[in-house]
Amino acid sequence: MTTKTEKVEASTKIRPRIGRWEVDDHNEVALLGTRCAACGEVAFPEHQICVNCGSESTEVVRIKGPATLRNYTIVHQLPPGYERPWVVGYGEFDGQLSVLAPIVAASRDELHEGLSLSLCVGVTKVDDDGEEMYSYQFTPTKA
Amino acid sequence: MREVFVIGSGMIPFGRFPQLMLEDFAGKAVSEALSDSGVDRKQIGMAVFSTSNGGRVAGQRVLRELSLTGMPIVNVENACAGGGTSLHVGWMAVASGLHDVVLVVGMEKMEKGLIPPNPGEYESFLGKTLPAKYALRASKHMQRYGLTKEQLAMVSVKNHRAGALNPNAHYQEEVTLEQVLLSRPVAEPLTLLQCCPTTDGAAALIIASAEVARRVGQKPVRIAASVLKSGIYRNPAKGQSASDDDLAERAGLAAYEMAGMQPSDVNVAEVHDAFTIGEILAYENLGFCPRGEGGRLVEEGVTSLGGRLPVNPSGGRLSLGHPLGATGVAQVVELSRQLQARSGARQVGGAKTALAHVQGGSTPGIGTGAATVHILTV
Ligand SMILES: [Zn+2]
Repeated sequence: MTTKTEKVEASTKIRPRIGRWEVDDHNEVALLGTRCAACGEVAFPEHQICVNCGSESTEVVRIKGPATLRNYTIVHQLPPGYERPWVVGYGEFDGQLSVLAPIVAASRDELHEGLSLSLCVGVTKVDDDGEEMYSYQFTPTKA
Repeated sequence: MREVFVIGSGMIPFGRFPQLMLEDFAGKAVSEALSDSGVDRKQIGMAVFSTSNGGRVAGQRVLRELSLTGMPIVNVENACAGGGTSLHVGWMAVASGLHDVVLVVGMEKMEKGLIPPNPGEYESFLGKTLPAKYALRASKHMQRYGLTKEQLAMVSVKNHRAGALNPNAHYQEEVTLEQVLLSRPVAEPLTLLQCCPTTDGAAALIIASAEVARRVGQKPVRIAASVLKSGIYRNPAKGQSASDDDLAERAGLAAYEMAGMQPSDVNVAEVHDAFTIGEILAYENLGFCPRGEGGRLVEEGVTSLGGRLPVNPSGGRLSLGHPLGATGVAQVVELSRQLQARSGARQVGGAKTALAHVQGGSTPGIGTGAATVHILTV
């Protein structure tokens, strides 16, 4: 199994801690979060101490789509290294948690609350040295 | 705890000072506040400074220029809430009885363009710029409560109209609804004229015990409440309110309780309008109107000068400008002068009680880093 996470961790640059993900043999993407053994809260990125109750008893869980688009914005002014315009929004996983991610390959017309989103991995930013920086992203679920 | 009063205020006209350092301009606000208060400079027991970009011991560097050092000088950083935080720290020092007179200064020199994020602010890497954060709050409010683009833009029109009456405002020109809506999009639905400009500035307050306040200076303004809170984890997917709103609600409730007041007691307010949606949400989070009715409040003119509850008579962040660390102090400069009936063309008639609110410091997981609410009375 190959993951883009390894590539990020191999770099010596300080990277934003956006959270880890996995890509399986069927090219399905899962976010690595944590579930609290005490209160059941699911968090992403991973938190060893539960964000909700403070318990230290948490285990890694895989968060898979589809997610439901809650709200989004089309961003026009961005630092260098991003495509413009760039869409970001919150996808909600089963009433458990919302995750903010870029939304790619979506036309303006199809963006609306309730849209089904799948996880994918792609280039989010090209950094100052020209290196492509990957992240998890959302894309409209193919029928 | 002792009662604490604002007895002097000062600020420089906000603007862009590319050739100047903090040391060149912040001292002017300090000198104005000192002479406004009438206290002898030797009476200052402590100084609290707020800046996010000012570097190490910024307060000492400014006060050295005034030959005014030796006492404890505290340098505070709390992003957009830094100014409010420095007032809270000064208030604690006087309320506790440790000092009788404290100097509180907010000051900032801003970088042009978007405020650069911290490395740990991971959502910004994904493309969630600061305007995008507020745009997401706006889009949610539009979906849930039917807030309109026009209502959002009206906040900017209203605040620019007030700023046009403020000689200290960075932008002293009115704008039309059409100009706001047709300015270039930054993060939809927010357009350029709905985002605060890049502004440098400094503001200062002298706060003191009742005994000192009786003896000197302007009509004293009592700090009826001083509250600082930090954000906590909330999960909107489970129906909880967003961390950003929850933070302002908790700060507001604690301030009303401390003052023994309620939202309807407030005659004039300065709230955090770094983006238009911020002001709409502040109305609701601070109890000026029920949840979902913030858009109507601005549309009906309730929060305009001449309305029942004028909000941001200084011009707000949108027109006065938003030098991060200076903002919370500048709000209280504006409001204490309003309560002293010294505000000229933008005077809110008969104002007895005022509220100041700032919040900021984008912090994924807990929404917003810090918020302060101050309630002032005469
Ligand atoms: Zn828990």
